[in-house]
Amino acid sequence: MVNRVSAEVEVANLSVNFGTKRAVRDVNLTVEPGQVTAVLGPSGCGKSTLLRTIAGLTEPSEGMVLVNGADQRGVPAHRRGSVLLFQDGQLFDHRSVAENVGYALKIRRVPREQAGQRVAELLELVGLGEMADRSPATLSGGERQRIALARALAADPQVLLLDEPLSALDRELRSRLADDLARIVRDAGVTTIVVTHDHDEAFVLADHVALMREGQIVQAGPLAEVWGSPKDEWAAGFLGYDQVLDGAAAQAVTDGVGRSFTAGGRLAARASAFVTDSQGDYSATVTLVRRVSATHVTLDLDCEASLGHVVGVVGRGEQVPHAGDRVQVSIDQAHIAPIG
Amino acid sequence: MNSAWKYIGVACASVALIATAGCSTGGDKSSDKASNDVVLLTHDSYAVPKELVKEFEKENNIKLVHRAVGDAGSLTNRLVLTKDDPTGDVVFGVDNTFASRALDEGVFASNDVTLPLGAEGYLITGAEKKLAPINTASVCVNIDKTWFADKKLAEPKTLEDLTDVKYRDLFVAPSATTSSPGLAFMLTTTAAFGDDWPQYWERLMANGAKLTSGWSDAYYVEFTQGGEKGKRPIVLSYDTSPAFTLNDEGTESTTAALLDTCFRQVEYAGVLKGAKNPEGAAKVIEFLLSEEVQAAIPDSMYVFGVRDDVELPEAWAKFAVQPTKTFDVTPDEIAKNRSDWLKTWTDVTSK
Amino acid sequence: MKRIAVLAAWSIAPVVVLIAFFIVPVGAMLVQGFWPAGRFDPAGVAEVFTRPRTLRVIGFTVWSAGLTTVITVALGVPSARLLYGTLWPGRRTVAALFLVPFVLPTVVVGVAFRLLLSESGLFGFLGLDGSATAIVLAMVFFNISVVVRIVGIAWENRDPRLAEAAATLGANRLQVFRTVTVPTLAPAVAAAASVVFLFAATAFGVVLTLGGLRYSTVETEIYLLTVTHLDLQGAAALSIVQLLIVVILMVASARVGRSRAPKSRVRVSPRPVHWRDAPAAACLVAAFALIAAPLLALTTRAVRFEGTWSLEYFRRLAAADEDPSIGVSLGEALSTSVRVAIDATLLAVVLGLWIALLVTRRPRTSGERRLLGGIDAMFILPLGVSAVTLGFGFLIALNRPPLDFRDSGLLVPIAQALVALPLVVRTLTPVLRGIDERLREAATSLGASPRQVIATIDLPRVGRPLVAAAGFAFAVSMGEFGATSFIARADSPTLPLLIYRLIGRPGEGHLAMAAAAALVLALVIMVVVVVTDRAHERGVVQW
Repeated sequence: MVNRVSAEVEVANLSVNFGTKRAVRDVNLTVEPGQVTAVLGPSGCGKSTLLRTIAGLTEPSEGMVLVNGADQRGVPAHRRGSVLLFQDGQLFDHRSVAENVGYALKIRRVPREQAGQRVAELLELVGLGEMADRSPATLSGGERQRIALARALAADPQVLLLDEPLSALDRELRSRLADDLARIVRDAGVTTIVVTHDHDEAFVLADHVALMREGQIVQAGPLAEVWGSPKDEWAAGFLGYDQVLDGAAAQAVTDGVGRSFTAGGRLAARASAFVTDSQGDYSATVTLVRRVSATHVTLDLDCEASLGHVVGVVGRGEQVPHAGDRVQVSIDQAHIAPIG
Repeated sequence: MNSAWKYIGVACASVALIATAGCSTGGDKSSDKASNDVVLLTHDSYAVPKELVKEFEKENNIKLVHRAVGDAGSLTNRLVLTKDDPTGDVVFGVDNTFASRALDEGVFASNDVTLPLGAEGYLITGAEKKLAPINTASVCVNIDKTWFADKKLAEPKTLEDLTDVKYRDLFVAPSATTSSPGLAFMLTTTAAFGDDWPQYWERLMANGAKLTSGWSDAYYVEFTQGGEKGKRPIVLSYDTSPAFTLNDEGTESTTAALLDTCFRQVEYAGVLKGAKNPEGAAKVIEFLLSEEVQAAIPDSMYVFGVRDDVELPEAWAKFAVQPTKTFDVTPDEIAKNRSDWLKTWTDVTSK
Repeated sequence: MKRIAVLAAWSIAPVVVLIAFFIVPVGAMLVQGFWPAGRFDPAGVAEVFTRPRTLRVIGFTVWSAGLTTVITVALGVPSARLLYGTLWPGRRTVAALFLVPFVLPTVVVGVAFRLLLSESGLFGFLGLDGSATAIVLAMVFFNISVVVRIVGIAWENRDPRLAEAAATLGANRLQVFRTVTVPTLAPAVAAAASVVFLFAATAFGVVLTLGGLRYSTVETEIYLLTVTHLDLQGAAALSIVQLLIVVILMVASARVGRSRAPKSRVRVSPRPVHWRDAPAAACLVAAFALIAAPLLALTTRAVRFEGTWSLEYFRRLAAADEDPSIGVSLGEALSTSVRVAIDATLLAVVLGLWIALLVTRRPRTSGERRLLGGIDAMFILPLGVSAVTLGFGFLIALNRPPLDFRDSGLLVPIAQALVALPLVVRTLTPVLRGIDERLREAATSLGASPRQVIATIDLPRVGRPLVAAAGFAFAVSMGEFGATSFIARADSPTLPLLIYRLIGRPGEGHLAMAAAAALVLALVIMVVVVVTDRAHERGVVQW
């Protein structure tokens, strides 16, 4: 169905300054053809600026963007073949849904019939075939994002740039649309860079991840690799690790699971690394029970031995304890990663 | 390649913008000048019957292009400012209060127009070949005779009378700085009172004289015979004005000009130095002095023609009495003192 | 090619027009003032400022414009709230009527006010004739529509949730007003006030007709100095004062204006009238009376003939070409006016849209920001320069190719277009600025070139405001008197010039004919403004 040539994107020594503010500092990043890379970072870290610079909407102060090895400096945004999808879609409210999707085709003067066919295909692809004649204003947030995606794909992009594509949606919709988005993007086979502050979103959508902080790339690589060894404490925190263990605690965990974590000895652990388990090896006192969702509870645990204070979760089939209860805890090593 | 196209696009668009103007309705006739065009510059009050103009054009194979450019002051200043590159061939409407300024700047060329009988009397010494007198009228104080009859008050006669308490709050005149009859009246007082003229104005203002910006304001809005139920029976106007205020039977005028308070205004025509069509320009002056135009002047411009041999309209012959003696200031003197006099006048009247 | 070079290239045409028809002529007049007889003589210009009269004139200008601004805002803001915020029968008509004074020719207004205020007039007993109060009243008459418009539209587009939020936080009515309403409306009020001050400070016809000579503003003084005294040094000095006033005002209003983009896209629906509105209603009635009285005086004068109601004066106007002293009929003058106005409107709209599109491109570098900001500011200047200076400047500057325009029939439309241009630009730029920049970026990113972005994103939204702007430009051009009367023109006068001619001619009924012609002019303008205004549901001029 799709005969698009995917492109390799390379960002070389890129800096973007706004006056004295350095939004992007000396960033290097390579995205292979067809790869989906998530740029993950807190708001204000410069990730959107990076994306806009790749799209050609913001001028780099230093460095360059290369697509398939070609320097993009001086190539105006509308000739770059990279399409940016905004957080809130930015649909054209004065055009119908079909006209929105067909916008890029109209701009390129694709014959009406051919364009109509492609629009219908794309609307089917995003599951909104029956919405063609509606006004975008009548659509829900999720539908708007799907239309925006279809509109972007209609432009046959070499590179698809997604700026927080899901963050304007509510949680329920978000996880549903995330799956769809991941499927559609992968089916399309187009090189994609998605910017997000939400690590879950990054995990669902991307196969590669780049962590960005204060304008700089802190760590980049295949998803599993980055997730399996966050570079530092901050990276661990941003990747969704709830706690960092060092010294005696780290040693105790290493000893406990019988696996050797090297390199400095510090460990990042999710709450799910410490599970209440009546068969568990460690005893602990529950100091606080925290309900984070209807089905999910975290516990502050005061463990015996050198493990100290950790955050944990209630194990499968275990009773939810009360503060002050004594519990047994086991360690799930899959949720622990060495730092550095 | 792309850049080149962009520049071409911009250039085309710029041309289109300027051409938007060109293809519209305004850019027609006036811009294409034919060799038989004569451009006549006048003030706003110029008016000559269209039939006469058409006849003149046909007879002389001339196309008369007329441009009106504000009042006599604007007209004169326009001539001075554009003297090196005039915007017309011939001008009509420079009067004796402005003539010297234009003459001093060397705006006019000499012409060989033969003047008809009656015109010589209005020539300016030293500019006989440059400015041809066309029409004349005197600026005089006018009174509402019926008002004074009703009030059983003696009619004022002289300038001095206007400062009499009997006539307190009865006089209205247009300002000397914004109106040409107003300026003429100021000149009247400088001729009548010599160096004491500012004192006269002090007395006049102290006696409740009112100043308006234009003649029409004074005459229509303030004057009791002006048609707007004004409250002042004495107004500065022209010697011709009584011809327009006849009673219902048409037997008598309800107003009169005080013939001892008059200043004569004469309007001139002249060929401009640097005119593109000086022959045509001279023909226009001859046209303005022709019997037909001179006969039409009273009805179209409300002034007397300079020709002696032209019959006046009936009402004029009866009721527009010209003064035999007027207060005169030579154009030279006016040119020399105008600015200072006006400043003094402004100071005295705005106290 | 660098983007700034493209933007600069697009700036060429409008800037060339401005330079040719504004900067060169006005500059030429200033040169005449500073270089009398070819020698640089700044002392001569400086001397003007030592004259007591100059200082008095500047003082009176600032005082009268200031007072006008205060009264206009005091009456206009409550009126705007009532006209645009409450529901009552006839409010649309009244709102349309409020537009009329703004586009009436000054000569007409001067006569109307004199008819009312002269010793014999309806309000003659007030003794206001020839007083400074009369001038201020007439300027309020002219400018109240500006305040009502700008503030009314801001009021319609305010965010009601803020007031509700304040109310739920326990604020009483007065506190809500003070903490929410005032800050919301303040930018619009400040913008309106600065425009009114500018218009009042450059008023010409009104001051000349009503002020006699006792009161002179900078504008009328420039006229007197140029036309009566040929004192170009004095005129140059005062022209510089005028330019300074404009620049200061625009800098100030730009400061306030920055926070002004309407945040809320919701249009607040009007509420029913309440007894609380009584003070505001009093203001509206006062403002309405001030607008209606002179118009009524004018109308009465036009339709009363020998003690009865009659259309006699209109009949005479229609046949006025047979009157040798007038030489042009109402129909001819009207058609001249309409033709000139169409030309001027076309020019103003094309140029205005061009400038508006240009200055609303988002600058990506500080150089681009300076370029676009400079162009934006440049086109305000024509608002603040005396028509006399411009008219005489045309004469002395436009006399050789490629600018041999002195005698062109285009000069009048060009001058009128320059006057209307700031209004057009200020109507369009807020609409264009209101478009989310990311929409344009989305289009760009989808492959649309800058031209295609304008065609597919900007133009579809600017359609209705463009119609309104064209209507406004048309009205301004129809009523323009100052610049038109100083420019050489062909035989056929425009309607305002015919009115002026009629006022200046003796003879029974000419004043009434002038009133009748003014009435025709007012009606034509009103119809155009109401029709085109319909087309535009959101804001008009914003400053």
